Amino acid sequence: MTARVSYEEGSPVTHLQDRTLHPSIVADFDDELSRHHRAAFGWALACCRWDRSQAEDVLQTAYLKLVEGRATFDGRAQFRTFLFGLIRRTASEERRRHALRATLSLGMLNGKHEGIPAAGLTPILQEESTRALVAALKQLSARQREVLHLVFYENLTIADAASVIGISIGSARVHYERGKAQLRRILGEDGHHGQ
Amino acid sequence: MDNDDDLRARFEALASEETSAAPPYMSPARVIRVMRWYSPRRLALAGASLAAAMLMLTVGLVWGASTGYASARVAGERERKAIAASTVGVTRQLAALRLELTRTREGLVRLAASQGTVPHASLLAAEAEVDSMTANLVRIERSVSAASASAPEGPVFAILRTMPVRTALAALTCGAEQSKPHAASLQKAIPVVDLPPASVHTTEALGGILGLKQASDGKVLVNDARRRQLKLYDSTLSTFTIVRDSAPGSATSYGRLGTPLIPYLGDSSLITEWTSQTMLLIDGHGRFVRGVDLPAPLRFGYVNSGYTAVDSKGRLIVRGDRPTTPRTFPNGRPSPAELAEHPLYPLYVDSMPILRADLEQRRVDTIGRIARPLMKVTTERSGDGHTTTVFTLDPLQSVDEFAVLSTGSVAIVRGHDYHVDLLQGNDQWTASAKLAFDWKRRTDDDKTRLADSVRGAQNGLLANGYPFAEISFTTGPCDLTGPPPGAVARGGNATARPDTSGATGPRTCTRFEPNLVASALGVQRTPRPPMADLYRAGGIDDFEAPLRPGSTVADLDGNLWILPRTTTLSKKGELVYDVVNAKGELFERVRLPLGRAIAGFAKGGVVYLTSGDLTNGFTLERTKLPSIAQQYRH
Repeated sequence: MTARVSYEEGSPVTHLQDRTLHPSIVADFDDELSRHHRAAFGWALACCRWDRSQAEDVLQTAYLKLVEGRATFDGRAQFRTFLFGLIRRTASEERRRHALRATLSLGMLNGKHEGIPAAGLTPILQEESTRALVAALKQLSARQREVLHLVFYENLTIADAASVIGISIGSARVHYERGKAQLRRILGEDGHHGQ
Repeated sequence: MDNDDDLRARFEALASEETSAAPPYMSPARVIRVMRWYSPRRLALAGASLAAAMLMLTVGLVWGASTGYASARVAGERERKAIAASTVGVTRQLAALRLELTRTREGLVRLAASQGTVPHASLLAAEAEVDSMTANLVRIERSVSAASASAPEGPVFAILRTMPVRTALAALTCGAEQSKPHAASLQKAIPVVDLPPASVHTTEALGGILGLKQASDGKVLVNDARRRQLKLYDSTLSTFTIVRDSAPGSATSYGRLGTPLIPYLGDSSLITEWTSQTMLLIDGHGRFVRGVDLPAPLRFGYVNSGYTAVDSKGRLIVRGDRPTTPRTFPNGRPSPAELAEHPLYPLYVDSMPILRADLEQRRVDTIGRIARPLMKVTTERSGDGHTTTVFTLDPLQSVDEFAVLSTGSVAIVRGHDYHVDLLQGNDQWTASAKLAFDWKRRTDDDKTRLADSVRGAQNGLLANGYPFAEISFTTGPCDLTGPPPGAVARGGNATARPDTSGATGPRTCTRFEPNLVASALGVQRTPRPPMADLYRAGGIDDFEAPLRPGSTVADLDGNLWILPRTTTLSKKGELVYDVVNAKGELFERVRLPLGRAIAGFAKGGVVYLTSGDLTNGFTLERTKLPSIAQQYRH
């Protein structure tokens, strides 16, 4: 019950000295999370390679980490940047856990491979252009896809994208340029073949 | 940046679609509350599932056990009713039989009242038969009562309701174990038959009987080895004729040494002849038929010094010489000290071979071995120039005995566990089950006491002629007289053999005395001087040995008679024999009349007994096993 709450630049800064959940803290996180929820869901989809069910689990797990204090927002970045980084790490953990489970349960022998389920995008992506964009993003490297998604989708700066991904700004810029060129080339080829 | 705007437009379209499909925001606090509620609920569900499982298991266990109770109860009721029904039927039949016996007894009394119409002996015999039948009836009724008392009275497994399952299972298991018949009860279950007193007996005393043979016409050829006479008695044993006499110089001379009579095929017998070292075949009346030469490997002493019998094919079954092995020394050659302690005598093994000599094919085979642990070979020189060597059997270890059944099988009674090995006609040995015997375990204190007192005990035995000596030689000047007083039941006797080496000078004689004496006969051997260096070389068995040498004999009905060393069935010192049939089964015990020993057998349960002593001579008697014993005989 010794939670200390302070605000800097309009963002909640929480130092949880124990795992006890204070109602005021929860209320503050609710506001922030509800505000970024849709963007967070989009980012979770990207991190989960557009697997909706996995994205929902990752998102909820990230929320819980934040509320329960397993993830600490120290205020050195924007809350949105921190939340995206948390979702990315959580997605990575879930992916590794899923791979481990598949290995232990010999799921790899079943011929299943990670990817977008057939029914995963159908309810979400209705437009042909968005499907083509997702298909093109899948062909990029993870870093390139993440940088482009954060910059064009989430409207973050390259510096914030680098902070979310956990790389330097220079590397993020390189990934941004190369990813953008690659994405254009893919989308152009697709358009050429489509014509 | 135009291109970037194009990409940004694409991403915005993507974001628009995805955010429209985003799930509604759920407060983490609510999720936590759900999880907090979910964990206790999960625990509660797990607990409830466990409780349900336990409940179902309990219900199943009780239900199944109740079903088991019911099934067992029904089975028990059926069994009880069946036993009760059969018991009632048997009881009715026994009651009817008892009524018939009562009427029969009344008839006997009526006949006895009418004097003179029926001989008194017949009435007594009939009354004895009625008494025997009444006794049997009482025994059967007692058995039926015991069976009915052992029948389940109530629900069989009712006790299971009052005890845990594990205890109940243990109780059932132990109950099954307890239901097995105990060895002591088995031993008690073997019927004990009292051999009735002799009906006929000889009127003149005999010196010592060393074999007899009853011919098919009822006449009995008796070998009085001590008086060196073969007597042919009539069937009533009242009169006899001497067919071979001790008087020398005639064709019917017995010879100057006593020798055993070996029953041969049919009415004929074999008797050894020392002078020619051969055997004589005589018919049922003691008349000479022909001479029988022994096969070369078979020594004459084998036949004359121990138990010898004939199987169904006319082959001699005889105990061979004790094998020896050379004594070895650590350095190859004995040192003076070792030589003083262990002279260069060979080592004698603890078993002796059983030989089978085919008189037609002139071949001798070893068919088995018997245990005869040797304690010491002692040589002692006396003051009169005689040297006596005694092969001393170990009285504290078990020995084996052998005999030839009238069926032709060779039986070896193993003393260490008291069972019988049978050599059938196909030359295959078969082992019987262990015979019932009241084993007496020796404690460590008993063993120590025996070891401490063995010398004194040995000296005492020597003073009585030492019946446990296997054989003894006495070498010295030829002043050795004939056989010592007494006779043996079936084995050899003291004999003397002149020195035939042809050397000049004073003649020396060697006398050997095979001591296979049935001590039950009360035969006294020649006392020997105490031998100071008697000692024991073997261990002491954990149990008292059941046999002694010379304690088995075969009758002519295919049975083996074994005289154990100890028995609890002797009332006043009577000898009680264990009778084993041709299958190796102990089926009855026969208690001899007091002061009697077995001298021989004839077919149909006829037993010849001897009574008397060395001073007054021995009387030959004949009796017969009662009918109740006959019906057990195959």
